[in-house]
Amino acid sequence: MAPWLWQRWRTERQRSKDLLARAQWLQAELENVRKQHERERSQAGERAVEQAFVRLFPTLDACDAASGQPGVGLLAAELGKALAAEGLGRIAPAEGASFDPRLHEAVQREARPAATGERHGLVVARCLRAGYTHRGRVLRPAMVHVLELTEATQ
Amino acid sequence: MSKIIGIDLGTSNSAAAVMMGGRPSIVPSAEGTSLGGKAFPSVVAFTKDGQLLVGEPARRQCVTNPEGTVLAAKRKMGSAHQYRIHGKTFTPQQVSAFLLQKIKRDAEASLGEPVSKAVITVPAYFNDNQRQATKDAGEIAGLEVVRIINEPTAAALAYGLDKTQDTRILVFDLGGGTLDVTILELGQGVFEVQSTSGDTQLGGTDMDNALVAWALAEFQRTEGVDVRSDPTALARVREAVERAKIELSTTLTTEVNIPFLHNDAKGPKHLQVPLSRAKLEELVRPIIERCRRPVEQALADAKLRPADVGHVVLVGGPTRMPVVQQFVEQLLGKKAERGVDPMECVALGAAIQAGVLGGEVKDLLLLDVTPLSLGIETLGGVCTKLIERNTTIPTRKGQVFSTAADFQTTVTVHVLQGERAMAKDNVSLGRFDLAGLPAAPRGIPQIEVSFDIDASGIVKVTARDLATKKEQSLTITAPQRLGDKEKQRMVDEAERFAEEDARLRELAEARNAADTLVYHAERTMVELADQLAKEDHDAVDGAVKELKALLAQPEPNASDLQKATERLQRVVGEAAAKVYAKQGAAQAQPGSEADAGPSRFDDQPEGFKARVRDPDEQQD
Repeated sequence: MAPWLWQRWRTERQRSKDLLARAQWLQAELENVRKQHERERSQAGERAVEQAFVRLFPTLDACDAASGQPGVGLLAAELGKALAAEGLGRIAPAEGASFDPRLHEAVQREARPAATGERHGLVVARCLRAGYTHRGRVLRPAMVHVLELTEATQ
Repeated sequence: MSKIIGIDLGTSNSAAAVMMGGRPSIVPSAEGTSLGGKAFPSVVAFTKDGQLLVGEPARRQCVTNPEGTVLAAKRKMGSAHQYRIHGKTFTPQQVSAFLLQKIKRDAEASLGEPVSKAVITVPAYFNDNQRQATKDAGEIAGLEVVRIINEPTAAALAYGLDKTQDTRILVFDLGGGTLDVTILELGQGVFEVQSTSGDTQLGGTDMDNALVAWALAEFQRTEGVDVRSDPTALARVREAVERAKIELSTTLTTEVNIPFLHNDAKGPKHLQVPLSRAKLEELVRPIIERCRRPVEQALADAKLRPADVGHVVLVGGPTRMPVVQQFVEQLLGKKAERGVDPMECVALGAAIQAGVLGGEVKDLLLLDVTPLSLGIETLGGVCTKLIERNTTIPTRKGQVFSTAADFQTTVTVHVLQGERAMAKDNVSLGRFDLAGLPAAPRGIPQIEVSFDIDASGIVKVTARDLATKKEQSLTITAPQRLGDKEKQRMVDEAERFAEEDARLRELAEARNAADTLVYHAERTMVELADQLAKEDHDAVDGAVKELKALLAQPEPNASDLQKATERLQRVVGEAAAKVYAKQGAAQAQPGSEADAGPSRFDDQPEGFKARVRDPDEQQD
């Protein structure tokens, strides 16, 4: 075979290899994008619900702030029940619960030595504002006042 | 071949993106979205019990553990600084590596495959030391950093500015706490930094603080209560103000409304105060004004006047505010680029660069688009578009047309390029005839016209008679070899003439409809001649004459045409109805004339409405 022809054949072969690889890559990519699109579509409904919940947070906060007012407690409880039925979970850690940055956001801190029998570490002194979850996703962490129980020896 | 991800490793927030199906897409953070975007805070923390926290959880525990939390490690990159955390020491590279590791994990979770390579962005002013440190951070995180690119370059890439003509680009990056102004020079697809300027103590946080201070002052003025020390109240005010700010991007007034913001012995107190866009602008104006100097400085350093800047790119959440956009646009006398989320564009641009380096965006397979629409001329001099502009090629589109006259045996396919409604205003790419059609009444032959554009932009137009399978084609090599300027001129022109074009098209359509109806009415009259009552015949004849007279005018009024068409349609309908009533339903088949009758006109398939121009017809 003439050298130029040989050369030509080699380039063409390489080119066809590259193109095949490229086509396979694109085909795979197309499949993946399609799958991702499916996933996103199935999640889109959930995201819409979450958006609606997020828009309600200011109102829920107002209900909590007004809970001392006559009638408001009842109203808030009804609202809460309806939302819970739709999957909205409330994060309102009790006093003494251990602080978890995955669920709680610390905005204040104080420290005191741990009393005998108390474990040292970070605990929730007070929940300042409730947080919310939806199917395990934290939509908003609870805002808490953290108490640090230092080791008694200090 | 595994994917290369693009990472925007920011001072206060970070984000990552990857090419998916040829387009960059943001990698979602595992903790979910929390900043109004898909980024996460660039915070790393070690709890006292030795747990490592990155991102949102790290930020949330910051107050409880300030000595164990690292914020803004980016500011220390490339320095000899060491973080001492609970008895251990970490370099800024190591801290950044924790952020990068989280990004790597999130990307792997989202892609479902291992990720080992990345492109990371840095500010344009970063020196070699800082760039090397960023690279090291990547290596520590188990990522091979295939390239470090400048943030403003990435932003420009996200807007596709590398494909524009050589120009100068000003990138205005206003983040949470820093302003970076960069001027890039683009030459043959390569970006070069001309100058940088900025302010490390200026950002969106300052604006938010100004708004919160205003709301608190309002509350104090109306209710006499200072809630500055109440963290719950403060958080509610901050969020309410943030929402108001977002609403004011689209509306002119809103209300900051926080019921039961405070409770005391005298009862509950609510914050309810209107906020207008004008007020908001007044509040943030002093902060925005501080952006003026850095922009002017950058221009001066690059020895440019505002008019020399070809493109303006806005980066960062605060640039979503109309007042910020207006400020920059006024300062430079130029509209900013739109269409990419300013909080995501650096990461998206990094992903595009990663795609190029990974061979994802190969020249060989860089898919182009048709810069202008392609179509053919149809009855009445109308340009019927088959391929809309900006369609990604290769592509193929076909449509079925028919003849405009009885026993027409040749059709001319006139190929056009452009955005205007009428054929004469567009560029003619060529024409060819398809001859030898079997003689048939107009509207009967089915001629499929198809456009095939291959990846290199070569257009093949084929006309095919579906009955005889006869076909004829024309190949046009690179019809869109138009300069950017010319292309833009054509698009602009289409916009400018949109109204006039719509009128002409409407007129042409009215003419075509009238013409078709006259044709059918005349046929009906011939076929039903012996059954039509004299007065019906005269009524139809009169209406036909009236319509024909209008059609004979060089430029009849479209609504007159429509009215006359409707009148004819009515009288033909009435006449035909009487004939059939007389015949009795069972007696005679309605016959083809009824099928072709005017009432059926609108039911005809789309393709038939447009007709290939009859070559014998007079050119106008």
